[in-house]
Order: sequence, then C-alpha cells, then structure tokens
Amino acid sequence: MVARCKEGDRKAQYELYKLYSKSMFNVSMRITNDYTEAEDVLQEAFLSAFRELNSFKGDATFGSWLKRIVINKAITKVRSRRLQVVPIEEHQDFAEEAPDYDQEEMDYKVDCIKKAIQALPDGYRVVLTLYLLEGYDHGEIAEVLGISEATSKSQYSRARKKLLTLMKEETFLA
Amino acid sequence: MSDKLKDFVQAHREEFDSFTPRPDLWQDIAAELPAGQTAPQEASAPEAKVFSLNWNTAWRYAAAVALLVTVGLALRYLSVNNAQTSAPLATNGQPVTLEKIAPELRQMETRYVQVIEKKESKLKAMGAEVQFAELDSAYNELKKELYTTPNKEVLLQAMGDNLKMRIALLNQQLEVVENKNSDKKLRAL
Repeated sequence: MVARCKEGDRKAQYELYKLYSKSMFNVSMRITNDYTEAEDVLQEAFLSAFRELNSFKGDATFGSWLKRIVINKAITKVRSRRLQVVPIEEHQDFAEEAPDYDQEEMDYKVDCIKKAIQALPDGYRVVLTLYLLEGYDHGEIAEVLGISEATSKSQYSRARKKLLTLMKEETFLA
Repeated sequence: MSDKLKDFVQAHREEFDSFTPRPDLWQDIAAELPAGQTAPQEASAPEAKVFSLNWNTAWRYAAAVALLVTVGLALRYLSVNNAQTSAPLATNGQPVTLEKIAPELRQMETRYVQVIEKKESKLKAMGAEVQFAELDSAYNELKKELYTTPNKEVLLQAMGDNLKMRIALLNQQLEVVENKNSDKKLRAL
C-alpha cells in the first residue's frame, strides 16, 4: 500500500488515511489539547507524509513513522502558542515534596484520567502522554523534545504526581 | 520501578482514543495533494461548486455582508455610548462591583455551588441535612473584606477553602447516612 502511495495513488492514500487518521488524531489531540489545532496538525502531518513518502525507508513501520511526524508537528504547534505554563528546562532540582499516592489504593478510571490529562499544563501533558499512551521511552521523548533524558524522567514523575492530585480533586467533586 | 498507572493505561489503551476528526477532513487533504494518477471525482466535486458562484448570487451575498457589517457597527456604537453613560454612574452611586475586583470569583462560586447543591439535594432525599450557618457568616465576612483587601489571592483562597469544606462535610454526612441505611437493611434481614 505504501508503495502504491509513493506513486501517487489517491485511493491508496485514502486507505492509509482511513487506517491511521483516528489514532493519529488522538495523539495530536492529547498533545495540543485543542480540537481545531489537532485537526490542523492532522492535515499538515498527512500532507507532509504523502509528500515525503520517498524518505520513508521502511526501517520502522509506517504507523510509527507517521506518528513521529504528527508528534513533531503537534509539539511545534504547542510551542508556538508560548503557553508553556511549566517550562520544561526548569525545576531540575526540585525537592520531592508531594505525597506519593502510590501507597494509597487508588481506583483508576479511564474517564477520570482523561479529564485530568486535559487539565495538565502543556509541558507536563506532552511528556506524560508520550510516555504513558504513545509508549515512548525517556530516550525517545528526550530526542523529540530536545531535552535530556533525566529531564524527561523528572518531568514525567512530576506530571504523574500532578495527575494523581488532579484525579483526587475530580473524585472529591464527583 | 513498577508503575501501576502505566499498567492501567496500557490495559485500557483503546479507550483513550475517543476523539474523531471531522469526516470531511480528508477532502481538505486530498485537495492539497498533487494530482494523483487515479484522482477520484469526489475530491474535485466540491471545488467545482465554489466556482459556480455567478454574479447574480454574488450580489446578494455582498448585500447581506454589508448589512451585517452596518448592524454590527451600529450595535457597537450603541454599546460604547451606553458604557460611557453608565460607567460614571457606577463609580459615583455605589461601590465597584465584585465582578470587577475578582472576576475569577464567580467562576469558582458556580463551580462549587453546583456540587454543593447536588450533594445537598441528595442528602435531603435521604432525610438528612447539614447546616452551614457558621461557614455562611464566615463566607460573607470574607466577601465584604474583598472590597478593601490589598491581598486578594489569600482571600479568594480562603473563600475556596470555605466552599470546599462544605463539600467535605457533605461527603462525610452522605457517607454516614449511607452507612446507617445499609446497617438498617442488614438488621431488617
């Protein structure tokens, strides 16, 4: 199918779009946290994927190659908003003060987690979703975001704590 | 390091993909792609429509737009005038509204009050009640101070805590009543 797309076969392109648009849209939605922006990202990503299909060597699956494009575009979008509430470079040596909710038995719920993710500040949300939902490891996150692996790790653990606090609040108000 | 959150998310991975892009997004993408060898008709059809706009109908659209613009401008002019006449009244007659001092207050109030009312009615349905007399008077005191305080954030925080305390109390009371009810049921058995 990818080979047919390389030749500009519109039908094959549509097949690929049908196959990947939903999951890619959710990736982009989680990073941008904005429906219109997520759609822009999706459109741009598919366009540039089809245009640069020749540079796709096939050393990864098409899905993960496309996902990388989507993530990069989404991150650029978020950065251009300049709304980074929690700058990624900062807080390197922050004392771990928040209580660790891991000890407590927490009843995880998908809806609750989704809501809390949307309430996270941009910087936290990006790292957390890449790690938790896109299955990237800290090395890959560091590469995508242009930060160090240690920063990615500490950002993740802080984002995770923040998420759990938000979820507590959510159940409190429920 | 075991991460229960990660395990949970992975187990429910599918459920997290809940959004869908609008169905016609593909048309936009297809329109911008270089023409393929087997370009289907569906992609070019909507484009043809855009050019079918002739001068007869264009006139009507232009008139409609012009009308909207004039109405919009007129409304704006009116509201600016209104604001000019009413603004001095507000500062002379009565104190500045809370809305101006702390616009975030209303948002906080509606958010918490909704929750409180919901829980209160639930509790009432179970035949119990919680009185907030002291919390109420404390809250009103805080609200009065809001007009004069130099430290708005601290006050707002206190007001938020006040509202949250009610929710906590209601939660507690609900739990107590629920426990009582289940006890009764057990005994009845």
